[in-house]
Amino acid sequence: MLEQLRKKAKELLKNKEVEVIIGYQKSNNNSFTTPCFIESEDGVDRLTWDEHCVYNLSLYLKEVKGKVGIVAKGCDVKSIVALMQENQIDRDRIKIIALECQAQVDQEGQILEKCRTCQVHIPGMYDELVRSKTSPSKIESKESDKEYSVLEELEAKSTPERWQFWQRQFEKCIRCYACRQVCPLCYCSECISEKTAPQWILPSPSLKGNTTWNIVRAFHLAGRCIDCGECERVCPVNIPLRRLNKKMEKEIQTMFNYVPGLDSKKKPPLVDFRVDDPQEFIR
Amino acid sequence: MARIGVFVCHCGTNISATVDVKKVAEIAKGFPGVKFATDYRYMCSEPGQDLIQKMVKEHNLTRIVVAACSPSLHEKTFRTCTQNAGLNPYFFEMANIREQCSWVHDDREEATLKAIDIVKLATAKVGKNNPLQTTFIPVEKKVLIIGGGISGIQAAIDVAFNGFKAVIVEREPSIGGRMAMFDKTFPTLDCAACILTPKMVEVNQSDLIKLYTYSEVEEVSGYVGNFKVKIRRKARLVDENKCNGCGTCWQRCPVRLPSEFDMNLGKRKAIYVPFPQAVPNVPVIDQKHCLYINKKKCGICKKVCPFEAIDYEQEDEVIEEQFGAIIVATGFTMFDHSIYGEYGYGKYKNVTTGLHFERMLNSSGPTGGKIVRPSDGKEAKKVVFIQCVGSRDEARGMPYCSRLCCMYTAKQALLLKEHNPEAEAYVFYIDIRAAGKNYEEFVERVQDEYGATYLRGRVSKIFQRNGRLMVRGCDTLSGTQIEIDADLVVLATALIARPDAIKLAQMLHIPYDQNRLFTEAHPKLAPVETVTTGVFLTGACQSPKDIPDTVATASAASVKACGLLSHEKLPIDPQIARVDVEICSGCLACKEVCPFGAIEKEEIVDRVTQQKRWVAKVAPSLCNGCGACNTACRPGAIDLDGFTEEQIFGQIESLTADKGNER
Amino acid sequence: MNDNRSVKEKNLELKPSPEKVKIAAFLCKWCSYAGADLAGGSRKKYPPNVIVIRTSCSARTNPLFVWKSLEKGLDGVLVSGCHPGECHYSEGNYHTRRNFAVFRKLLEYIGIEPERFHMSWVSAAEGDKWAQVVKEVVKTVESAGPNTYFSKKKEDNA
Repeated sequence: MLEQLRKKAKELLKNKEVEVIIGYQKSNNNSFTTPCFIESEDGVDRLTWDEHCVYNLSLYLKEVKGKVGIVAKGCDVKSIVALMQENQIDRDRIKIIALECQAQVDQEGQILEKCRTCQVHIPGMYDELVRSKTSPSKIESKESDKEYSVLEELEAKSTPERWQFWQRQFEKCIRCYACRQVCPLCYCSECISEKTAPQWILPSPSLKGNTTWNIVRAFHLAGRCIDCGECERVCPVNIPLRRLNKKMEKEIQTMFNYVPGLDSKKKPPLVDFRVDDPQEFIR
Repeated sequence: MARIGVFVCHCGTNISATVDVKKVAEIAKGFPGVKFATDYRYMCSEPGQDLIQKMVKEHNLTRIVVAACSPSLHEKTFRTCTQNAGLNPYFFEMANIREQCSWVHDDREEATLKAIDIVKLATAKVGKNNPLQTTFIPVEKKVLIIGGGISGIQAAIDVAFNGFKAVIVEREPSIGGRMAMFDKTFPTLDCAACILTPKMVEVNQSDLIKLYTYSEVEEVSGYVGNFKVKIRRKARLVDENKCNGCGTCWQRCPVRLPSEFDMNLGKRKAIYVPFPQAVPNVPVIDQKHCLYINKKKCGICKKVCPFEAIDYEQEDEVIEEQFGAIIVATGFTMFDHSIYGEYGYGKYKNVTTGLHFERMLNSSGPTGGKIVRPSDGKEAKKVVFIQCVGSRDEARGMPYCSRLCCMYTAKQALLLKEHNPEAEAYVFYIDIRAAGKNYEEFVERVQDEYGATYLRGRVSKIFQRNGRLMVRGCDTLSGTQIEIDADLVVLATALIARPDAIKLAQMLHIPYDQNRLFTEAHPKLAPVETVTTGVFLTGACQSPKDIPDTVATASAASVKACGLLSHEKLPIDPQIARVDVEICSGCLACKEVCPFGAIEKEEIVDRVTQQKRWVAKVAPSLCNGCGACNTACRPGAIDLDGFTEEQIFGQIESLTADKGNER
Repeated sequence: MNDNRSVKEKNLELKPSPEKVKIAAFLCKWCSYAGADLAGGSRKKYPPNVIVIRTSCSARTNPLFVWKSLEKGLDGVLVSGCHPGECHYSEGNYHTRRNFAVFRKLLEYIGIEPERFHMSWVSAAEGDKWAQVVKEVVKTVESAGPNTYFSKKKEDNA
């Protein structure tokens, strides 16, 4: 696969179809990867591809101007779709080199939670597709048929228990905003958290401010988050952010039959409506 | 820093009986920014208003709060008063301590406490009010009327009578609409053509009315006073300026086709006018069936036309015009009864509809005024009329009553008897709804004088037996099953919205209901207005209407439209959305949720990066100030004057200031 | 009626009881606010715990306003607008409905008692309904008790 990836990248650069390719390269100690930006043909040998390519590179699409090639897994492509829906990127200037991906692993070598329920091993949109030669499915299917099983434990708790659970989590938050910085869909140049007139969120770490920040973040991503899981991965204090995102995803799928990141022509669910939307909660 | 004055009204005893107004004023003095507070018996009275103006000067006040009744009563009064005091009229807030406090609570202490909260809320808001200026837009003195039926015709005549220009856009080759198809009208039995044709001619001859027939509205942008409308003028292939309607072309055309105007009971040619009194009296070439267009054969019409009016090369033309107001008069279509198995799924030729029957009744119609069986053309003597076909049927049809079927069925039964006194008329009905001037009397007459048999009940089945059409139903009044061998069955099918009604509604940003009928701004007090200022409704596009009601709403709508046009310029409410482009990320969620199409994307050069980027832009004259965009905007780049984030936050905070929680 | 009553009864205690719940109600100005006015016009009595914040349309009520109200210590929040299909802005309330269908799930999931957030459709003609809604909402919020999410007291008790 890697050879093919490099070949395709080289062609794109050679034919001047793109000016830069965003991809993965080995990290300094060779054990992991880092994002890289390749601007010349001879740089393509730096490109790498293995189960350590966890980053969602679509994060860089808005900032890197001009014609861009991007190496993308199925989940990353979903965020590209979401960015297109929201008028953030012009598809015409982007070449997607999509990679068939079985699963990514964390630093301990464990398969990522999100990969267990992945539906897009082969990305849904691309210009070039690099497929795996080996036969698929290394993941044992113990959880893979239950998309939202990660939520069950928390959903089973009582309301005060959940409050306590989340308060313990938010207590830890140091408001580094890494979750926001790494999120491809948190692209606002000025976040609501920075607004002072009025002040939506107490700026310094406090239980109240932290709670508000996390509620705002979860709601602003509702119906948009494509579950790349990067926020949770980068959180230095291990707040289980996917459990918030996934909950929103589940509710929206149940109520509005909408799954983010699949169709660039569709309206995101929270700017759309149906006359017969559920309203059993309204008096 | 705002200097707020609080004026607490007793409203006689309406407020002071339950709320300790003096206490409220006293406590209000301690609220942030409040420099003066007092109470007075009637704030809305002249002395009350004078008091406000006097105190503004005396205490150098910059913001006013009046704690009194609902803003729906006196917001305007006090805004004007605030303005007269030399302040921006929007530097005012009303604290509703009557309708939402003194009138709904008995306990004096509780009510006073709540009134204090309400006043505190208002002072918190008013301190953050922005000065707003009312702006004005010029008015284009021309009305667009969409639809050229009786509704649109009447509206155009009335607009012209008021001295304004009107343009009728009609989809069909001629104006006249459904009414032109009718034979006689109930309850007076005037001949429809005799009362309609003069109006059609009047429209055609008026210098103030322009007709675009065989044309459709394609795009509407802009706003009240200045709608920009794109109109597609479909290619007639006949030059309207050259043709004088002599008719040589259609007499000689060799292609015979079913006539839509005659409900396919008669024939027309490939070049045709839909009916003899058509306005304009200019034919149109049916491009689908014309031999020349399809096979480059024939070309007779071009050869015989004495005026060289035939132009096979003519193409659709899209023109753009500006209008100050729009009247929607697109009318209705008929419910398709073929979904009803009991009426034969539309299979039986002799099961027809009211409109077919109208054409048969008409002496200039396809049968020359004879009532016949479409299957063999023989005279129909036994006719069964069935009412409520598709009406009042929530499961398979429309939930509503179509309102005129009772009357036209009665009329048709009467006319049947007049055409042939030997004929028998049977009417199956659920209820007779004849509410209208001389309507009930008319239905009585049809039964008593003309001997039509009225049967209260449903038809369960229409089937064929020995080549005869059998109608089986029940007469619930006598409790018997009935079978009638009928020559002809006439179904009073429901009046429904046109299939493309939603498309038009979206173009005009007007709401429609679950039946795709356009929704008026208020069912009682604004029956011809829509929520989109400058767009009015008339006729059956809003709900099924008979001719008198249609004409009445047409006149009403034109009065409303002319009222707008009588102004040189129109004020627009300044309480609308605005975008902070520095914060806007260009996601355009606001554009997606805006019900008025008031937001468009605009390219700007970023102040910091000097790069081009997209942002949202509000068209002030289109924005109605709902605030849906504000909620959709994640970074808070778009705000709504009158209900800004800061104002609402201030209100929330004011309520929680005494909650005693750790902050 | 004696208009000088307010002077005579000047010495009202006016100490809000700490147990009394306070509820913010965001009402659209076209339907629900007018419905509340009508309740007043027809002298329908209801508890005084609800303070109204008037908005243009229910769609103006950002779900995060609801959270802000709770964060700042209010005991409950009610959002009310026109019935579906009757929105003055034709479709604002459809957006409101979607926003809150999602947001209330988030609130519950984060551990906010569902008793604290309410929504209703109240038309300008439904004064009775407004009074009824307030009664029900106050009762439900009372069942959840005063908001102690961020108060020291709760921590101590826990």
